[in-house]
Amino acid sequence: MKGVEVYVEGITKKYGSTTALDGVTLRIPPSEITTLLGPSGCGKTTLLKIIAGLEPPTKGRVYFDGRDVTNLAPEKRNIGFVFQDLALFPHLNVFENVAFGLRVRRVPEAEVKKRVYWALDLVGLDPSEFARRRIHELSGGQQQRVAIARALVIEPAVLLLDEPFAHLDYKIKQRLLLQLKRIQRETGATVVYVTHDQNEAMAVSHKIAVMNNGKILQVGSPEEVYEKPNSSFVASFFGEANVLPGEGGFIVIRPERVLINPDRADTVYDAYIEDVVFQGPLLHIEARVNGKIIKIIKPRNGMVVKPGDKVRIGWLQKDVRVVPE
Amino acid sequence: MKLLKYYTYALIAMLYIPIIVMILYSFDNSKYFGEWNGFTLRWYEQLLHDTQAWSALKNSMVVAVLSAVISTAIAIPAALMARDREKDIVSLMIYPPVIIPEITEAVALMLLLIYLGFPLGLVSVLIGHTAFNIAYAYIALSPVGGTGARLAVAARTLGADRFTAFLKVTIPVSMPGIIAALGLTFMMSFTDFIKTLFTKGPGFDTLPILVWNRARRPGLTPYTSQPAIAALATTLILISIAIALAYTLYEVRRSEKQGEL
Repeated sequence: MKGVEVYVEGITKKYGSTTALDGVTLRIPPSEITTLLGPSGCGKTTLLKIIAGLEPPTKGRVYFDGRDVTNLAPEKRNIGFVFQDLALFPHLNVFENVAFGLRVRRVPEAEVKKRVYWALDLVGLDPSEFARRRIHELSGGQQQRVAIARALVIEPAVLLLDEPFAHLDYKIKQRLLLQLKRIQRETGATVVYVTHDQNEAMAVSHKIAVMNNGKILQVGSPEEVYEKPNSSFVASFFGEANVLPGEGGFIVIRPERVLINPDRADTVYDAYIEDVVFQGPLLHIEARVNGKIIKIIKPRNGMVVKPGDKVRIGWLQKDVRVVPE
Repeated sequence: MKLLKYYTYALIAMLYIPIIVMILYSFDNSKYFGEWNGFTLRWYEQLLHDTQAWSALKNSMVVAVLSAVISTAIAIPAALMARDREKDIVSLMIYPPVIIPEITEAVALMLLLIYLGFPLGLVSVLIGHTAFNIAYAYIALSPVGGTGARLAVAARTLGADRFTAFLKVTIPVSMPGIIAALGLTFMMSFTDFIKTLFTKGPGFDTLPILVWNRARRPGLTPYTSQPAIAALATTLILISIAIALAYTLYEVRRSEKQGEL
């Protein structure tokens, strides 16, 4: 399976007087996982639905491999869509849920069986155990896998996922994220993944588009966006960040780059330790400098600070990022 | 707490005592209500040969079945409307018929039918019943309607066109609501008295109308003796209970098989 390149150009979407998307242009590379990351209401789900053809844009075009699909019905776009609430069919068992897209394509019965079993195997559900199960007999994580298998079995040109793991436990979520990455590698599908969770975005993406207020603020690999945020919003939304007023706008310093009692630093302040929170291997420390809280993250080994301690904190100029807003 | 328990028992008793008394007297071997002359089935035997009652039952059934099917079919597309704002307006417009006094609706219907010169009979009664049944069908359908519409969208992402999505997903998923709507509207129509009275023509009687006709002139013929009326009314109750029971059994079996939607 070879994924398509999705290109959205100048997409604006208005609902009455509210603007959900405001002139969004984005190139989604083929056979990669691209994440639309942003707070709720930023327009990320709307953009996903426009790519799927479930909502028409007010303005702008959608292209699959250069072909204009803006006015194409969703059933003709050859997409796979995993809904936030899964939208599994309660009147059909697992097999028939997964087979649905093949049946409407009139795939011969033997082939249907082969491909449904392939898709169930791919998502880690043993067909002999699960094929005949009813949807309501499955756990949340299993239902999630059925939803992904159902979307994948038709070998979609692009797989669209709308916060598919939002309601799952942390551990199951981590496992499914890894599985999604493996499935993407094995199938070569183009995947567009929508989430408001920065950790999911970091774990799964080749490329991240950070969105806010109907606009895309920054696009890049997780490392690029983390190391070189282009605005204070991106810096604070993607990872933890200290954003301080500075020359030409704001300076951004990541908590793990803040030094405590440094031998050498370009900037140094006197500070009081306000709070120390134990986070497994890491300590989350809050230090007060001139009435402002600076967040610091340090490995726990060897670090002996406690609330009330008077320390010096500082950082190297190379770890500071200046953003205009 | 004990007081509350007795209060609840008393409340239930008040609900059922009149009906139980009526059922008891339908087995009374006497012509008059209130004197017990021993057990008999003769009023029920009499009903078996009561051509008026059979014809009224047939009319009731025809009107109730047709009205249930037509009103449910009309309500399905409205209940499937997915867009929230519009749906709110539709819901707001559909509920009033449920709270408007039935007598006003009945009079309004009658006046309209007379104004239009519409012949009064089966069709006018059917129109009257269906007009208000649409509201009840909508109410019964709207919880599953949203699900049906949502899942139809999922079907379309899987390659189904609108029609296939409706047929293969929306209809089966909405089936509990469709059955509920059919059951509710059937019952509303089958037991309706006021609207039928105002929209029927001479010679077209339904079971409730027949009960009324006989109950207001008791004792003139064997068919209108009080225990005979009690037997007729009891039959009406039994039919209603049988339908409600069938629906409950369906619902229990469905939720065992499929889980709650």
